[in-house]
Amino acid sequence: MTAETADQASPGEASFQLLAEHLPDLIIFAFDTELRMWAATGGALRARGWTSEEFIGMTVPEIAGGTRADDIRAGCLAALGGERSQLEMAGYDPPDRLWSLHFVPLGGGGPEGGMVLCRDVTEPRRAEELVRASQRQLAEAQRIAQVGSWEWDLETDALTVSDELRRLFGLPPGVELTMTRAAATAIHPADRVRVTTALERIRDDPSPFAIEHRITRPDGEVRTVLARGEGVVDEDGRLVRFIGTDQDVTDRRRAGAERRRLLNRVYEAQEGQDRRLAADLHDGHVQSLAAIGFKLEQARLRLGASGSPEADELLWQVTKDLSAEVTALRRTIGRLRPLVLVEDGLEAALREEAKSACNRAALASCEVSSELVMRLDPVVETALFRVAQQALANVVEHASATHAEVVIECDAKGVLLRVGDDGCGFDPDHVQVIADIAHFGLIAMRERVESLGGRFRVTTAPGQGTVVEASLPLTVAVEGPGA
Amino acid sequence: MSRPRLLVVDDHPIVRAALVDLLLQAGFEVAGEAVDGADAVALAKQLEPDVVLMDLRMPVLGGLDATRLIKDARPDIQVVLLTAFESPALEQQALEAGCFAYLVKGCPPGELRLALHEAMAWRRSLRPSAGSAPLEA
Repeated sequence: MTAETADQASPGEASFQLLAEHLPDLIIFAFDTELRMWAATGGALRARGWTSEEFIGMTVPEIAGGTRADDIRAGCLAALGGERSQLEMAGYDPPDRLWSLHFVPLGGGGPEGGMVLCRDVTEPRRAEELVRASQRQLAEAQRIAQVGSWEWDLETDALTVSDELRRLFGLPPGVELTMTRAAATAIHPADRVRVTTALERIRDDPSPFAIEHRITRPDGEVRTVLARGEGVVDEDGRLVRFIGTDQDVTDRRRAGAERRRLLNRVYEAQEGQDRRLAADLHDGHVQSLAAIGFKLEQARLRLGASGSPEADELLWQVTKDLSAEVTALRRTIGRLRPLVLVEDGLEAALREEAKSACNRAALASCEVSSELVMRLDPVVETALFRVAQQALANVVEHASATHAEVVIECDAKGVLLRVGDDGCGFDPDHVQVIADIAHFGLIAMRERVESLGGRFRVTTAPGQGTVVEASLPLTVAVEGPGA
Repeated sequence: MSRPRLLVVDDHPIVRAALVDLLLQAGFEVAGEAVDGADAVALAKQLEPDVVLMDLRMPVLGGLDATRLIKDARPDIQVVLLTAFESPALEQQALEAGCFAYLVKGCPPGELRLALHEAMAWRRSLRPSAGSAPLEA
C-alpha cells in the first residue's frame, strides 16, 4: 500500500494524505506500534525526488542512520503513549541539511501508531544564525566603537537601548527606560538644560541632529558622549520616533585635550627659546658689532686728512657693510621676538609686519584694519601674530599679489584674523599632495590655532587669491595634564 | 663758547666706551656717562648737558621714562635715542616722550653725528647761550 493515492486509502489514511498535500514543505511518516513506517508522503518528499517505497517497511529510528536512533525511538514511543515531542537532527540525505521532527500520536479512530512530521529547517535556521551572528557582530562593533544605539518612541516616551548603551550609561539590564527619566538622571547637571532644550526642539523636526554632552553614570563617573539621531515618520508623515546612537568620546576628547596641551607646551618652549636667542643676540652680538662700528668711524675720523683716500674709502665701505649686517641681525631678532607685539600689542605688530611685507614684495598696499580696543591674552596675541607673520610671508614669497589686507574682527566670543591677497592663489589639494603644505606653513598655522581651541581656514583657488582665517577665543585656558 | 656737552647713557660698557671715544674724536665734549635711566636723570640734573645720547632698554629705568623725566625738568636739554630696536611704534613713542631723534645702532656712518649736530642746533635755538658747534663736524 502506498499513501500517494487517496482513492485507495482508508478514511484515516485519506485524512493523512490530505494533511500532507496541504503542507508542501513537510514529509510525513506514519508508523505502527512496531515503529515500522507504513506511509510516507508530503510535498517535500516529492520535491526531493524521494519515493515512499524508500521508507515503507523501515523503522523510524533507522532514518537517522544510527546517529540519533535512540532519540528518535524515544520520540516514537512517546507518540505511541499519546505525547507529542520534537527534536532536530542532521539530514538523512544529504547530511548537511537540518530537519525538525515532530512526533505526534495518530488519533481519530484510525490505525494505532504515530506520525513523524519532518520539516527541512536548514534555511530558517541559517537565517536565524545569520541574524544572531549579525546581532553579535553589531554588539561587538558597538563595544569596540563604544557606540550604543537607541530608539525613542515619541508617543509613549519609551526608550529602547542596546546592551552597549546600557553599559555606556551604567544602566542595569532589564530596567525599562523613558527619555524623560533618562534625561533627568543620566545627563550631567551642567548639560541638562542644554540637552532637554535640544530634545524639545527636535520633537517636531525629523532632521538628523548631533549633540555632545556629558553623562553621569550611577557610580559617579562622568563621561562625554556624542549623540546622533534622526526622526522616523509613519505612512501619514507623522513623526513617531527617533533612532540614533550615543558614542563615548571621552577618551578622544581627553586625547585631543592632551595633544593640544602638549602642542602648546611646544609652542611656549619655542617662543621661550626664540626670546632667549633674541636676547642673546641683542645683548651680545648687536652691541658688540655696534661698538665695532663706532670704533671704525672713530678710526676714520682719526686718520682724517692725513690718511690715504684708499684707506678712508676702505674704512667707509667696511663701516657700511657692518651697518648692513647689524640691520639684518636686528631684523632676525625682530622675527624671533617681536618687541612691538610685547610692548604695543597685536594691531601695532601687524602694522609693522604689513609694512615689512610691502617693503619685501611688490605690493601696492597692505592695509591693516582692526576692531581691537584692548590688549588680548598674550598667548592669543602671539598665536595670531605668528599666523599673520606666516601668511604674509607666503604673500611675499608665493602670491605675486598686488594688494593684501590684514583684518582683525572682534566680538564677545572671540577674535578673527583674516589675511587676504589678490595673488595667484593655489590648488589646496595639489599643495597637500606635493607636500608644499608644510612649506607654506599651513599645517603649523592650523595646529597652532587648533591647539588653542580655535578654527583655521584657507580659502583659495588658482588665480583667485588666498584668504587665511584664524579665529580664537579671547582668552585661552592652559590645560593641565589629563585635562 | 664751549663745545657741545653730551651725556652718554648705555648699560653696555663696550658700547658706551666706543661711543665716548668716537664722540670725543668727533669733537664733542662728553660731560658724563650713565649706566641706566635713573643714573641718566640724576647726571642730567647735575651736569646740565646740551644733549643726552640715550639707550632704550636698560635696567632700573628705561630710556623712554628717563627721557620724560629729563624733559619734564629741563625741556631745553635734547635727547637723542640710540637703540638696537628698529620699530616705528617705538620711534613714535620716543618722539612723544620728547626725544629729538630716534636712531638705530648700526645706522649708516655719520648719521649719529649728524643727529647730534641737529639736536645741538635746535638747543641753541631754544637757548642761545648753549655750546657752539664741535670743531670736527
